[in-house]
Amino acid sequence: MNAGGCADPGGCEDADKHLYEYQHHELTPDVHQRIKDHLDACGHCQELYREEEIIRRKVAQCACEAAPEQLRTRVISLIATFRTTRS
Amino acid sequence: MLLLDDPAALVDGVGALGSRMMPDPQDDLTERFEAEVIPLLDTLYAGALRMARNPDDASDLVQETVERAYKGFKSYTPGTNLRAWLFRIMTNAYINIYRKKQRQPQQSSADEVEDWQMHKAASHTSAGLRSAEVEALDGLPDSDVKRALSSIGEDYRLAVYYADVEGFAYKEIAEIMGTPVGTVMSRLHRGRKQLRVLLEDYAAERGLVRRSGEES
Repeated sequence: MNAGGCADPGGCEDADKHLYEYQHHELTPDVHQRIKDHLDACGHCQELYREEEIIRRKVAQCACEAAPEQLRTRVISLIATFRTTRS
Repeated sequence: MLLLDDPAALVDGVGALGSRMMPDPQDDLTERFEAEVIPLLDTLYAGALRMARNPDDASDLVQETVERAYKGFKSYTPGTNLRAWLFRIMTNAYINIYRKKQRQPQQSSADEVEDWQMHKAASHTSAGLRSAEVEALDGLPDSDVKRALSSIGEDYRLAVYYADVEGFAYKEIAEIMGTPVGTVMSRLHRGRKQLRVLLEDYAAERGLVRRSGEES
């Protein structure tokens, strides 16, 4: 994973391996800090991370479609039947 | 499955409600169900689209989820993550109803795609990135991102959806998908790597960025 002549190629591999867990705040505090330190020091990995942040944001933006009005109506009337037909 | 299929949990739920609520616990339960579930319809529909992948089937899946959720609502513990609980029900409904219909012929082709993509992903990373690439990705239209998301394997897509759109913790995703956390992590890893390769390709197709290895 070393590119651009990073002084700590092992750190690049480490960061690459844990990048998503880092992004999702799933690492223990010490490992999180270790990755953060590497990203602060390595331009290449920092760039990778910036890219992953954008991908994450783009995915979050595009995948939130509103429910069609028809579905909303269907569900509301479905719940109304729950009221009338006791289980 | 845990909550839904456990009759003891249902009975407990009734007992707890019955002792606390005044005249008609069923009415109260329905009110609460409506008040809590209706605001989540958009979320449920967006999630259903990641599974069923066309608007009609996604709507049917949401309706099925709502029906099943209502039947099991007494066993839902107020204050716990309702979204996660509903997605767990939706996942089961999807597996029961839709996946059976498909008989998974796409599974093997998805694996093939994955192999060349992973190979490409590896070469991409080692080739390094140009800073322009960040801006190029940012400039991609939503349609490209949706296309990429729908191109990756279903389990990968759902893991990415739960983590990146819904913001669920890995542990919650594991419960929703019925897998160990390690499986969630590897699905996320592979899914995101594949997404990245696809998005870089789209950016190159649109002339937003040069492909790695191309001469300037």
